[in-house]
Amino acid sequence: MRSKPLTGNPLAGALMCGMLLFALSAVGRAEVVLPQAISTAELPLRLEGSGSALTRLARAVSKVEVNEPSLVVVGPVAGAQGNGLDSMSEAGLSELRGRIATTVASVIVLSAQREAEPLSPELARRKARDLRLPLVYLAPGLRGGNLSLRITVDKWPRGLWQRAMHPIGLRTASASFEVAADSSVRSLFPAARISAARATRLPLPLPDPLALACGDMGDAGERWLAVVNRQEVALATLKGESVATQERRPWTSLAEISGTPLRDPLAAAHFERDALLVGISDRAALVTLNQGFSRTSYGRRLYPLGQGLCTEFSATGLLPNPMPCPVAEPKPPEKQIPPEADSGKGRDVFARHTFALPSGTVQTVTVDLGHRTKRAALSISSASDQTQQLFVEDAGDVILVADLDGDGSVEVVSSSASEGSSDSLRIHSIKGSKVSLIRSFAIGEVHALSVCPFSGRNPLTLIAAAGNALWTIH
Amino acid sequence: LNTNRRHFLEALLLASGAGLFARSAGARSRLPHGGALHLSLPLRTAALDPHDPYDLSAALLGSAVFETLYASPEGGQPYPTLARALPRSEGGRSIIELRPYMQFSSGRPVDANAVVASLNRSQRLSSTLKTLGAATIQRGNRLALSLPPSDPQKLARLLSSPRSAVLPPDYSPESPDACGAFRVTRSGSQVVLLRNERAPRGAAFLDRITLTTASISDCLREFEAKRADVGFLGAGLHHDRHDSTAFRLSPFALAFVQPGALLQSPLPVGALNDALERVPAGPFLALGAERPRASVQAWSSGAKTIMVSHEDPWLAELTRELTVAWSTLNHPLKVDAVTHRDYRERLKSGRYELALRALCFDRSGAQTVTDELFTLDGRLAPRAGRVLQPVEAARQLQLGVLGSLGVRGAIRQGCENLASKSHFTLENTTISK
Repeated sequence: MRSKPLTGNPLAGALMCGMLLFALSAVGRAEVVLPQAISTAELPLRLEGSGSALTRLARAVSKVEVNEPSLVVVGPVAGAQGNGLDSMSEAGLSELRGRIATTVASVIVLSAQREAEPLSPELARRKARDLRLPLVYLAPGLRGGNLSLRITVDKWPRGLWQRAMHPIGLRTASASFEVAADSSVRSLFPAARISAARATRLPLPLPDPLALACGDMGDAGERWLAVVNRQEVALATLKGESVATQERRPWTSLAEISGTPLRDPLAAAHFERDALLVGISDRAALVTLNQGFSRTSYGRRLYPLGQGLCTEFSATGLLPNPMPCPVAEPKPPEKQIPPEADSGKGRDVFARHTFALPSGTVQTVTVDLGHRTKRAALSISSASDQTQQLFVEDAGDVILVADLDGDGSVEVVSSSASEGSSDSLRIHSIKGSKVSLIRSFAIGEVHALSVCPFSGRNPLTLIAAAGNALWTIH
Repeated sequence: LNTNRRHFLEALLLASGAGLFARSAGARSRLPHGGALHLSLPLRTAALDPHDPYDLSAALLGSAVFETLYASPEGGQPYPTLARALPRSEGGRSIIELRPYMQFSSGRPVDANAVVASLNRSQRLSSTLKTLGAATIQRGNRLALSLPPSDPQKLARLLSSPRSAVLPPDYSPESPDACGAFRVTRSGSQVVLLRNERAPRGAAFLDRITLTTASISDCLREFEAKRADVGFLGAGLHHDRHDSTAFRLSPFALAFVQPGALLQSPLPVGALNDALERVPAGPFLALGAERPRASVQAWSSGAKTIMVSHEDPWLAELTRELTVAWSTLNHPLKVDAVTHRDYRERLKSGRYELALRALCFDRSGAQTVTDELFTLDGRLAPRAGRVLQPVEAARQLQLGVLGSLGVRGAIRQGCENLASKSHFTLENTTISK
């Protein structure tokens, strides 16, 4: 018996097409659920927050729900040209891939099989088809000091029509993430020797600077330098040994003078979330400037500490009470300070930095320098260990803590408190409970310090405003 | 160390700061907070009135306690301090806007109402701001005031005079409330200046300055015994203190003798001044009063007493020396030491024969001492020709000039480092654009 062709019955054809579309959409809905926070665009989602770089990536990847046993493949680490990747050895790249597989890929619970080899996307697809398993492919990359990870979930349709509609498979999820490389990545680069660092003199974009920040603003890949003095905030580009001022904004256009400024000013600047956060005691204000150098938010009596943290001004300095910076805040009336409200609490320096050790453990370092002391107190704590108290002697009031060489232990860079000291800038290393001086520079009175973010090469570039010049130390 | 009186306390504070904390130089860019200073002064500190041109304590200590709308560095342009910017012209008036969020040490707001009340009070107490005209609050803006039209630079310079200090509307000199780096408190007979954390130009570096009123010899004894940080008019009573550095401030006030209504017969014009010019300089120089040398010659005005406030040990000491110089066997002259309240009342009513007074200089250029002397004598100062020196002016008046008062002495060692960065430069941000 011959059946009637479908084309001969329009009603039956329409019914068949409807069933096919329903089946396809049902497949798409059932396989993967994309949370709202995950970007499906090609631009990677920048991951900030607590934890090491790999932990943050793992947290983001865990939100991609794969509800069917799959083949999980971590591809080779790719890098764009000229990003410094060439300085990481093959062994380092292999180790980095291994860490990603261990820390990040392991959060995908429904994995029928994990591929040990760094297969290319094509080989991975072929293997997944052969195994008749969905493919979860993680493609890591290093670009400009950032670790990126693209995750794709592909499913192989089984029905005739589905295969006809999707001959190369059905892409059910695709997301890209990016994190700043920390010690867990930087420790795989060749070790750098800070003792061999040299200082280069550059012109200052603004006279008498109080604060510096070095970082990135936007995706242009340029290195930006923010300089703050009592009159202005300037944004300059830093290319090799040249500094070119791009933008300048007077403080008068950013914030009112505080009702209770400090007699000796304090200022800070940090690049965060594609914006510049600046604070100065003259205005007792925290100002956020966007890429167009326009003010986007304004906070009263707040001082930026970096890494999303702020603290409050006291009557004589800074209060040692770190708190999350407000992202956007209306202008409230300035807080009234009762006399002697903070007697003995004011600090010349208060800073808090969080670092990830190569092992992935997160360590918090707090720097505290009171008004009448030459000893900077360092408090180093992590979730697993007890808090360790250390002291840097003869520390002036310009102090910076950073993992300059990427070995997972912090270095303390400080000005000198001694009158007429020839080594006005000192770099101390902290190994266990020992603080030792490893390098010093005679560059004159230090006014401000900053460290440029990791761009693929160790050690990090240190920027200092000292005397009447800008110094890059690398 | 040689500086003028406007920098008296700043010099002392810096000196003490440097002495207490040796870290203030070198690579350190931030001055340390903390520390205390003890001053024993032969001045009446029971009250501080910056608008009173005869208040020596306010002249010397005022820059630590009081603020003005503008500041005017010597030889430099005036710049805004409590004001937001230089005065601007609007509707045929000069408008001055104040910075927001400012408070007095008591927590009351510093607004146009306070500034207008302060200017009115100053105009009542001295003739320094007589050219200013009437100030009014700008309608609808509690942070703006309006003044008769004037050149912005000249107006700002006039309002940088210490006599234009901004005070609360109900200011009391006995319990001062202001907006300077220090706030004034009392502890027994001592005046204690504490850091004013509400100061609109920043709280002081030091925690505390303790002020004690004492005779000149007691002040020197205290310094010699290391119970005070500043030796007034010397480095010790019996021996000079070794760990001290001498300092000398340029004259800040003019001491003069004013005849009263109780004199038996009015003095001829210039007679009192002639007599004072013949008084030997030596003893007065030792007491900080600078005057030209002269030969010893007794003089009798027919007066039997010279009135002075015994609460002002420095002036009382000068009066004692004057009575010694002028007394003769037949015409002894005595000190009529009275309370400060009686002194003020009798000066007002004229119930005295002679009185020793001290008039503070106003270096802002708002008014000369000569103008004030003519005003005291009830006459108008001559406007034509060159500006008269006080002694020249006194030759045309009934009062007589004893000499100018300057502070010299010694400070505990450590005053070598006068760090320029200690000067508050926030105002530059206001005038930068």
